[in-house]
Amino acid sequence: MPDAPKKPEAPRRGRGVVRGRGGMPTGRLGSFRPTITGNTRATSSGSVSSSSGSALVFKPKTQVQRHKKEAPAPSLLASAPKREHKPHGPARGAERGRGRGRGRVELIQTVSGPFAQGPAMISSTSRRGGAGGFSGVLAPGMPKSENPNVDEPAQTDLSDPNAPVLLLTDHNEEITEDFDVQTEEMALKAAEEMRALKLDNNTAEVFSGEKLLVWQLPAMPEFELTAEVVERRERERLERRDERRRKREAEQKKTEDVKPSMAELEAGEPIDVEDKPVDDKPIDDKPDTEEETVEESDSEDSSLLDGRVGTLVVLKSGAVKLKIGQDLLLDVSLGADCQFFRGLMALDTKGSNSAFVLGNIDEQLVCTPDLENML
Amino acid sequence: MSEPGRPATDYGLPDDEIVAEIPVFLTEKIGKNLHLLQYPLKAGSIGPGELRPSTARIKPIHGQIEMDIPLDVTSPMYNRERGQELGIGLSDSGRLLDIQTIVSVDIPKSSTYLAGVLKNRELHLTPIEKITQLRPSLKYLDKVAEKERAASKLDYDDEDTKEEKQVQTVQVSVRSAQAEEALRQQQNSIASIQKRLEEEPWSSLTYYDIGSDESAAVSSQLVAANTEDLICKTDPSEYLTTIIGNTCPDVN
Repeated sequence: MPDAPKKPEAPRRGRGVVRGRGGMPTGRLGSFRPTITGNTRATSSGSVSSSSGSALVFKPKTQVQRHKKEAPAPSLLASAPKREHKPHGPARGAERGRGRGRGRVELIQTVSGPFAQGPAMISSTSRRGGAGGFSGVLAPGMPKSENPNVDEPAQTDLSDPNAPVLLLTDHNEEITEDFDVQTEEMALKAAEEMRALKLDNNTAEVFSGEKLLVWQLPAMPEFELTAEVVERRERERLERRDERRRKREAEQKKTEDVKPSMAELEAGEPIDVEDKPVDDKPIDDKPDTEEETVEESDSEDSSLLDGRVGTLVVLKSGAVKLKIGQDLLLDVSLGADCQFFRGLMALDTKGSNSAFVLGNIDEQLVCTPDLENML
Repeated sequence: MSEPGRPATDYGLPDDEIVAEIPVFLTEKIGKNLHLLQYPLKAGSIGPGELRPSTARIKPIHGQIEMDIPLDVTSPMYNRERGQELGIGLSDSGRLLDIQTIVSVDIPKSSTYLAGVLKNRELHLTPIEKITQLRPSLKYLDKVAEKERAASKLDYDDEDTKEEKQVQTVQVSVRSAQAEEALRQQQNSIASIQKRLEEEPWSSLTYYDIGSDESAAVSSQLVAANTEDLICKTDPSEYLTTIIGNTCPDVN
C-alpha cells in the first residue's frame, strides 16, 4: 500500500545528499501526488471509495503502479545524464526510474560490500558495448542492493534517503544470457589481444610529468660506489674533520678565559657560553665526544649509495623496461589498482620525533626479470 | 634522452622503437627513515590536507604511531547524539567525539620496495624501510564500556574482593638452564611482546604536513646528488638465484 508518499518531497529535498553522479530529480514524486492523495485516504485498494460526500476518487492500486511506471520514467530519463544510457529499451529504463533509486539511478554504480562487482564485470560489460555502464566508483557507504525486478512500491525507500542506489546488472536476465554466450573462444581472443598489446594497462603513460611512485623489485641488486667517488668522499670527510678541528681550537682559546673582559662587555659582544654542547662532562671532554658522534655519522654517510644505476626505457609498443647496470633487464608494469590512500612519510626518531609527509603515492610499479633477454 | 625512434636492439627488442630513455638513480640518504603508509579505509582520491592530524604520537622503540584526525562535528552528516554518547570514551566533560584515532600496524615486506621520484625526466629511487597500515583505533569504545561497567559496579560491594586479588606472593628462585629457555620463549611470545608494546609510553610526534618547508627539505633528499654510475655487483644469474632462493640443489 502506498502509504509513505503522503509527504513525499519535503524531507528528501532538504537532505541534499547525493551519492554517485546522479542528481535528485524530484519530478517523479511530483507526479505521484495527484494519484496518491486520492488513494491513500481511500479505504483499502480496490474498493469504491465514494463514501459520503468526500472528494475521494477511486483509484485502484494497479492504476497507481502503472502511473509510476509511465509518468516518472520519462521525466527521470530526460533529466538524467545520458552518459551511461543502457540500450535495453524502455522497460529497463522504467525499472530504473521506478526503482529504489528514487530517481538517482541513472548510472550503475559499483557496490562496495558483498555485492561488489570487480574488474571482471568491467571487462565483460565493456565487451557488450557499455551495457553495464560501469562508473567504477566505489560508493562511499554500504549501498542497498535492490532487485529492480521485484515489483514493490517505492515508498519504503523514503525512510532512508542516504542509501545510494545500486544497480542490478547481475540480477538482470539479459546479462546472464550474455554470460552463457561467452565462451572459451572469446576468452582466448581477449587474451590474444592483450598479448598483442604487450600490456593490459598504460604503463608507459605513467612516465610523464612529476610523480611519486612506489617500485617493487623482486630483489635488490648489490651496488657499490666507484673508486673515484669513494676517494672523493674520503677527501671531503677529512676536510670537514680538519675544519671542525680548526674551529674547535679557535673556540677553546676564546673560552679559556670565561669571564668576559670589561672591554668586551662594553663593546656589547655576546658571551659565547652557549657554544658548548649541553651536557655535564667537564670542558675538556666535550669537544671529543661531540667530535666522535659527528665523525661517526659522517663516515656512515660516506658509505651511502648515491648515483646512477640504470635506465628506464619506454618503447613504442607501450612496453617499459628497466635496465640496471650492464646486464640486468626487468619488465616494468603497473601494479594492481589501489583504491585506498597511500602516503610516503619520513620518520625521524633520533633526536626529536618528527614525521615528514613527503606526498601521496601516484602509482605503484612492479618489476619482473625479463628472462628472455637477460640470459 | 636519445632521439626517439631508435630501434630497441640494445634491449633485446629489435622490432621495437625507443620512445624515451629516462636515467635511473639510487640514493640511500633517507632510506632508513622512509615509511610507506597505507590507509586502507580512506579513499585514494582524498586530498592530502584531509588527513592532517591534530595530534600525533609515537612509541619510538616499537615504531608504532598514532594520529588523531579531527572530525567535522558541524557537518550535517555528523550525528550529535551518537557523538555525545561516544564522546564519553574520550573524556567525561561532555565532549563530542571529534577525532578519529588511527593507529599503525606494521606489514611485513614480501618484496623489495623503493620510493621513486619522477622529476625532470629523471627517476630517483630510495629504498623504503617499512610498510605500515593505519587503521582506526576503537579504544574509545573500550572506555565507554569500561565506564558503563564501573557505573553499574557502584551498586555492588566489590571493592573488597578487588583489593584482595592484588596481594601477591613474591618468590626468589635460582633459574636452571631449562627455566632460562622457558623464560626466553615466554618473553618472545606474542602476548608478552604485546604487553611490552602497551607498556611503552607514547611520545609526542611532530607532524610536518606536505606543504611545509621541513617536508620540502626532506623530500629533496629523495633526489640523488651524484650523477656518477654505481657499479652493479650482481650479475643476471646471481640475481635470479637471489630471487628464486636457491631452491635447486645443482643448478650448474
